[in-house]
Amino acid sequence: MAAALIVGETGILNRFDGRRWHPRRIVVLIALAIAAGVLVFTPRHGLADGVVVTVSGVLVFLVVWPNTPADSEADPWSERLTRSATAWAIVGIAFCIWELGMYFLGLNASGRTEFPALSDLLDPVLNNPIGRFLAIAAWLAGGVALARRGRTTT
Amino acid sequence: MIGAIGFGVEGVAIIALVLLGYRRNDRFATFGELLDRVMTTRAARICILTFWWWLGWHFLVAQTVDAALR
Repeated sequence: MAAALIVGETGILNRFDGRRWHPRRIVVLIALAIAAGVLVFTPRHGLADGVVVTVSGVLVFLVVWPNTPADSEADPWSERLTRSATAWAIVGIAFCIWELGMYFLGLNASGRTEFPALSDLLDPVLNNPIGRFLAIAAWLAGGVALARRGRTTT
Repeated sequence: MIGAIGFGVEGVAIIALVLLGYRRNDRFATFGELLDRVMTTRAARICILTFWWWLGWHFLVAQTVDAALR
């Protein structure tokens, strides 16, 4: 986040405003296949995973950075959007409070089995090859889906 | 056990909100519509994508759970 703010302050990327990068579908698919292959078939927590996740972050950052004219013409917040945003915010904040509670209650070793945080619950799943494959697929698909959002308004 | 129950309840709430968006779309926007509106600002796009990136880093790259606890 700090890096994004520093890059933003330099104004280097402002030249891309108004022309958001739309990579071809085949390019996205090839990139996804390479990323998934490395993440699935190399050891978890390894250097290769770090490189792939870092490069994925940089590419997505470059895709979503530019503003477009449509961004400033977004429709005002309607009642149904506000209602939805409020409900999602309540669920999101409740999730964060629960995660934080589990984290602090489970600070000692025995507590982490009694009060597991999400990381403790998902760790065994990610150590399983099938679970890891599904998690990687979900993470990559989520990134592509999020990078495509914000281009149309409600 | 109680931790898993809490996350389970959260999961049910998320599924309920997703369904509500499709079943009562006249009164309740879908999550996609909400994201489309929120992500028209650069700050929101960067924040949300940074969180997405951090999830990948946290679960795939960083050693966040002690080996002794596995």
